Amino acid sequence: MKNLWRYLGQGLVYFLFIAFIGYFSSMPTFTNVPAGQALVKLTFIHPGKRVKPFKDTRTKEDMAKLPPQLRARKRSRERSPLNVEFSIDGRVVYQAKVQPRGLSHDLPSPVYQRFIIPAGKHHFRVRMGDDVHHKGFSYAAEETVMLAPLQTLIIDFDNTRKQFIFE
Amino acid sequence: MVQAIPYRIFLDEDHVYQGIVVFSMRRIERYRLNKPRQRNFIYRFLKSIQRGGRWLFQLAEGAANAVFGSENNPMYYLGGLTFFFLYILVVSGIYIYIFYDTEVDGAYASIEYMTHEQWYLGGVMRSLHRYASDAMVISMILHMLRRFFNDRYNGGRSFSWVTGVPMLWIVFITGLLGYFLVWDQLAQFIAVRTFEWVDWLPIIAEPTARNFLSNANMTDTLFRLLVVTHLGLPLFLLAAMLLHTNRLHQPKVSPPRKLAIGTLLSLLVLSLIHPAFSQAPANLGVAPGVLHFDWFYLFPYPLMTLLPKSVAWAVIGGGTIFVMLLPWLPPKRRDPVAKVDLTSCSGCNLCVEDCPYEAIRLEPRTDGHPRFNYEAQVIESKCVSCGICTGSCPFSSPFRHATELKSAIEMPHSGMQHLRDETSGALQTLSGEQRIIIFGCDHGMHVTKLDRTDTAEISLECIGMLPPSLIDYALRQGADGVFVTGCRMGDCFHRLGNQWMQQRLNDERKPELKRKVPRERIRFFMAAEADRSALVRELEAFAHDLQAIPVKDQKS
Repeated sequence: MKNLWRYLGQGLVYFLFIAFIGYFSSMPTFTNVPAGQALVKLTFIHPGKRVKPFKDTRTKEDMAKLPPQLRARKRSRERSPLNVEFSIDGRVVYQAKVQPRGLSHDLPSPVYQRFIIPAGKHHFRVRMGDDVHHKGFSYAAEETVMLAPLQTLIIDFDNTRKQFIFE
Repeated sequence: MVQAIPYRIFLDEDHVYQGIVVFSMRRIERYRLNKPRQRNFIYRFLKSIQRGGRWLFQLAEGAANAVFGSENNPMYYLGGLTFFFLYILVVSGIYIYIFYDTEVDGAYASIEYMTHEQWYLGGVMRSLHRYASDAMVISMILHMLRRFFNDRYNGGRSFSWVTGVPMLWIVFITGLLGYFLVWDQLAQFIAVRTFEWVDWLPIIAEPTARNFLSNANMTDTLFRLLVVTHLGLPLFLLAAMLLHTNRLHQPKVSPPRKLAIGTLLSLLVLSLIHPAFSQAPANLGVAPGVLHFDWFYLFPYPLMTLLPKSVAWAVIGGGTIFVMLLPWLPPKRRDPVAKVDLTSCSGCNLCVEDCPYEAIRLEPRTDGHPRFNYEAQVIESKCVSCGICTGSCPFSSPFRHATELKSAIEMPHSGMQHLRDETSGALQTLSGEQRIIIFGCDHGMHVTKLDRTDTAEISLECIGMLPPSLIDYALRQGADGVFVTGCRMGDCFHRLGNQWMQQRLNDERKPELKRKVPRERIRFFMAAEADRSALVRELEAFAHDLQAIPVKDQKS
């Protein structure tokens, strides 16, 4: 009789064990993007203009005296931060000065922002300035897009054609 | 009751003080050797958490003992169960890999084929793979919590603790990659959110999450890289697990057979009645909406979504560092380690076999002894001062007539001289019909708190420290019975001490208790703090049984 109770007890423990695993391995659910909403991602990588222009005071004669590995032109590698502004339906939702990556700030500046907005028709405007010496924005684009529920809209920048793309 | 009895204190041979004392010699010596440390707020906070957690665990373990028995109690094999789940994962993973398509376009379909077309084996294997990985998280977290609550993570055990924490990361990363390989909407969510989170780190030049902007961005190369990582990380995990148990003697790397069968069967039943399914196929043009979450692996993601990335990194990264540093918050006060006396050590190897921490090794003799070739040497960094070696040494005999009673290996603060003096002192305090001396340990039921008038209690660092000859000595010196207690069986604070003690009393392990010692005058009952009433009942039953023993047997 004692053994029977022990086996029943063991069965109960194993049942609780698999019930716990079985439930929490898939429930409760998690809502990533609520129903009726859409996802907009503003993301691009763009190198800003050089902060300082190329300048090397060494003459050709000076260079000739140096060993080959030291003849590389010295120049500032720092790039301008990007001045980015993004608005949805006329309301600015993102405005930032994005610093270049790298210890010397010589790498491109990355932008990656996500916005969850109601599905439907929206007007997007994005502007970017990439030169610290010029105020204002060098690049701009705007577009009206009809977003379906859960649709993902990517707003990227094509560095070859120098223009924003909506896809 | 030890608390209010006249006692003599031997500070050294020339200074003997008398009075009413509550401390044992060993504790005075320990106090002298270790100046008390300032107890700060963190220490008190951790201790209060430990007390609460220990109480909960002891309740659960007591209940599990009632149904599984101590030999199959899953709470005592949480580490072994973690190994066991890894074995299941490897076997089921190999099977899944045979049918798995490692291209991004074919991965989802191959998993669906296994789940639906080959549900009887492929589907079961897939479900088993998922549920075993979930069970692994449970056993691992419980194992860790149990170690912490029972104060078994610092001092000599800090190595196991520190090597255990990175394993959590390996398990979680491997599990997340496993979910990624299904390439359904959950995989899409995990991939995007994880890499968005990683991109916050300033060392990342280009956002890696951009690899998941559109279906065209997803390449087979990237996908296969993640497949290979998922396959390769368990090798690191296995290596880390072996390192984790490296300093342990007889580590539990698998559960007992009955427990293993029961666990495997229960997971199989779960796989059959509640098989694991994929969610809708991944489509990077559509954001995942409502997801069926595996909370065992994905519990940080809501946190990562709600909090700024910097804060989430601080919580998770800072939490990991904090947990790793726990053994030194504050550092555990270390008792002096075991010392070997070469004039007595014969190199018999018993202490080497009994040390649960592999802190003793046998080395060639350094003193040129004419008869013995080897000697025991203590590895100080591994010794946790449990004293089990004293209990295993054949020279730990209170009957020897030496000026200074000394074992071949013993604790400087708790040697044979101290043990014999304390036993003799305790016997002098006993009166009444049944004189019972109780040997307990500092980590099981606190015998010094029993508050009884008919017993004398001696608490040792571990019950495995008790030389069987001391029981014989106590009976010869006038005790009617000896009650031996310590941590619950299967759950010794020092891993194997109570097991060794039981085997010594049962003539299964050297040094055995002499055969002529009347076994009916000895009671072996292991108990935790939560078992106080059971221990008291057992003690009273023992006293009752002693009354029934004929007087003529008392001097046997």
